[in-house]
Amino acid sequence: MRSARPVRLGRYLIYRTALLAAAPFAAFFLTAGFAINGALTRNAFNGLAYLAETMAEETAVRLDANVSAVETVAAHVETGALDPRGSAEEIEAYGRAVLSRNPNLSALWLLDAGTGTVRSAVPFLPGAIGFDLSRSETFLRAREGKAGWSPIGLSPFFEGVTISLSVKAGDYIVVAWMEPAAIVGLVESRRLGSTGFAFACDSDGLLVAHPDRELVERRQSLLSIPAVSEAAKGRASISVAEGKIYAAHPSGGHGWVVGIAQDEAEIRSFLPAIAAGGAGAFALSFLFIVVGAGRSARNTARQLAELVEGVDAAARGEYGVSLGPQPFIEFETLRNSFLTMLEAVQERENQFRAVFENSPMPMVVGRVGDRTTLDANPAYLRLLDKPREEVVGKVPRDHEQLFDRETTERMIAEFKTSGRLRDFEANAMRPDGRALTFLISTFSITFGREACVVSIFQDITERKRTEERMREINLELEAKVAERTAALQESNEELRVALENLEEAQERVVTAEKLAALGQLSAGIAHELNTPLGAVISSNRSMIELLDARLLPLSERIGAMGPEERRRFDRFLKVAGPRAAQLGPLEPDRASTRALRDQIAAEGIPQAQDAAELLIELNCLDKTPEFIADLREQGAVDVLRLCAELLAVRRLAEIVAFAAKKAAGVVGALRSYLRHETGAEAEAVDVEAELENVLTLLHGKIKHKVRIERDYAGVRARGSAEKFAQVWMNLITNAVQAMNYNGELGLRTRDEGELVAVDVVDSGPGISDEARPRIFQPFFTTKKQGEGLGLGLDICRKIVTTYGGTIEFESEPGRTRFTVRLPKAEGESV
Amino acid sequence: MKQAILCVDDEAIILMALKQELRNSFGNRFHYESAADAEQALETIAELVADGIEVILIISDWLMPGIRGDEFLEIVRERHPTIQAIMITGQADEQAIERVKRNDCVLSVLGKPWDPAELRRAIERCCCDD
Repeated sequence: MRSARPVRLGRYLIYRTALLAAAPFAAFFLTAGFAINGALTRNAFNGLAYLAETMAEETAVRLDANVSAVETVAAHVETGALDPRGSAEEIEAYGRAVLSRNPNLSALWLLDAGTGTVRSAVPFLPGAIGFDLSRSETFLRAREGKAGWSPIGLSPFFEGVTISLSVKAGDYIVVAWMEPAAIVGLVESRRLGSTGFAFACDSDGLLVAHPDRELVERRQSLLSIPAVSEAAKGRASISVAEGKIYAAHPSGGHGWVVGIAQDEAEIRSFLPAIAAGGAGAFALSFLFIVVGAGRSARNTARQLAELVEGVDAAARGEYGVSLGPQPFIEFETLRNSFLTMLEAVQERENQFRAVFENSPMPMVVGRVGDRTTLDANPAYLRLLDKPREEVVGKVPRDHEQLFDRETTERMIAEFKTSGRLRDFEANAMRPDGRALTFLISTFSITFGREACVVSIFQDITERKRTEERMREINLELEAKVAERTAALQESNEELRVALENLEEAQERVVTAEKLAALGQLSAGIAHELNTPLGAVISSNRSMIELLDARLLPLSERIGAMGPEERRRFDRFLKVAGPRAAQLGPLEPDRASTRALRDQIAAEGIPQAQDAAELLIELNCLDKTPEFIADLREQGAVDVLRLCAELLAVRRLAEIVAFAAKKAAGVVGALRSYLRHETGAEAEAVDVEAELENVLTLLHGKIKHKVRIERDYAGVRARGSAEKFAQVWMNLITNAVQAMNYNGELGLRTRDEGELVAVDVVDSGPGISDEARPRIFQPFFTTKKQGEGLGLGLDICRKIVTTYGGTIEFESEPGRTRFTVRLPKAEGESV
Repeated sequence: MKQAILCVDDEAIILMALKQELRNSFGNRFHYESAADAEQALETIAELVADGIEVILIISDWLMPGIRGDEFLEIVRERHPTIQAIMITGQADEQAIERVKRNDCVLSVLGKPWDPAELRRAIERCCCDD
């Protein structure tokens, strides 16, 4: 049905209903026909059987009545109520009474039981009296005491066939004659239909009664008929034979069979009627069904057609269809669903329509092929500045002069190539002359079952303008950037110059400030300078005096020396001379001095006191034994004094040099403070030797109460020995001053790979929390005025930094450690 | 009994120069002792006294580590009232000089660098006048 050509629903329903209805109806009517036929047949058979039974019973009753009447007569004979040897009249009267009471009995005879001769006959028959019946079956049966029916037969005394019933009564036998037809008269009267008849047989199966009297007289047997033979055996039966249906029934205890026969054809004659009736009923029903179903189907189809029309209308876009309520639940559901769907579709279309109508982007729907405009939204109409009716239904060339020929051709070519437009940029001219730029995109839709193309115009005029403007701005910007960059470079240069100036100015300011500070500290600086200056002036004065006083007399004095004295002088000079070049310890403690004096006195040296003092002055206390022998000689002390005076010059010169160096150091410190020098040449510096030098210079201050602990690793640093000396001097001076020249001074050097670390540790009270952040600041000092400028650590840091090192400290009461780290001098000799 | 002149200064070169200057000027007339600070000076004085040497003059720096010169001289004056003193100072502070001068035992205050002749006169004034 699905693949076949569609057919009309109404027609289909009718065909289908008729087809479906016909088969069961036919089956029903056939079944019913056969059932009715069977039932009727069965009923006919049953009726026959019933009739047979009824007749058999009636026959039996009659036979019984006859038998009992005969037996009564026999009883009367035996009892003597009837005397057979009585008068003929009596017997006649008795007989007539019996016959009248029993109409079936036609005659009543009395036989002599011994001879078989007739003694009496009622009604009286002259020939009958004396008639010998001794050989008759009637007699023979009765004589044996068996009351019974004789076979049917023809009797010379009676018309037609007769049968007799004989009962023994003593010496007599009572015989009653009967006309069988009379007994079965009922049977004869029962005629059924046109062919039915009743029949009766005696116990031998011989016909007793039959409509065809001739058959009876021929003593025809019916035992060949199964029903009869069955009934003769005592069982009611029915059978069909020779086109007749025989229903036979045994009749009481007489051995008779009573039956009914009817032509089979007659009994089955209602079959055609049934067939005809069934066919008619079938035809009628079929017609009724077909007509009814047809009407229903047409009705249903009509209802459906209404729905279909509504759907069809909706499909064409006519959403206003009104669909009446449907009589069938399924159709109603369909209708409701359809209406709901329709609403949804309508709503969606409305939404789409709203988008279309309200879109600020012009949209137009054109038919593929002739390009007729099928719809256009207001934005498009505004763009064209035309009413809807001038646009919709027209082809573009009639209403649209937006694009020039070249653009239009380009657009069409693009459309043909790729089947659509995708952000196709096109310049357009509005009717009012305004130039616009659009991005045109198209997509295909089916509009009213026609292939259409929707074109959407995105106005990018503003964007283009902005882009253009952006580009201009960019160019301007680039130009400006270039311009500014140039200006910037220029101002950079200016700035650099200004910076240099500023740096100079700053330098000047710093210097000025430094100088100002220096001014304030001039007293301290003066002291620092005046001390060596004082030493220089004093020493110089002493040298002048010594030279003035001793130089001229010297040659005379030496010349006056004897050879021994001269050699002694030389020996003294030789031993003491090198000591004069050293600024050794000032003087030994007094105990040593005393001990020396005592020792010399004990040696018996004259002028022991002077000698001792001279030795001390010459710093040769430890070399006393070398002098002892010479000093014993006369005048040796004078020679030693001359020696001391000469070497004093040498020592003074050393003092001058040292003081000058110290002054220069002060000046240098000031200079390096005022103008920090960089790029000093680096050399390998024996740090530990320098530390020892400083200790030497500070000997006087530390010899008493400062215990020095050394822990040297044998390291060398790269830098300036002179500059570093300043560092060590500052750090060690600070350390010993901090512990007021009383405590432990730790000097430690360590090899830290690329660096050399120098620790200067003191056991002083530590650096206060307030001072800590400021100790490296210039002019910050915790010392008394005159003890320092407050530049020491600043200078230290500058020097260390200049040579790529660091300086740091940690401090707590009882232990302050300054650590200087300097680049290690690898493999360089000092 | 020999007399002693004690020089006190924290600068070794000053002490050396001073001693040589005194030696040139006064030869063996005096013992010339030196001390690096006040404490050491007081010890030395005590030792000299114990040795039976009279300290007649102290030539002291004013600025020294530890006790300052004027304070030191105050102590000396209390302990040894006979010892006289000459103060040599690198300080240009007039107030300090005035204060030092108020000390009875201070004969003279000289500035650094000092004029050797002036020093000699000052010493002679104190040691040789009597």
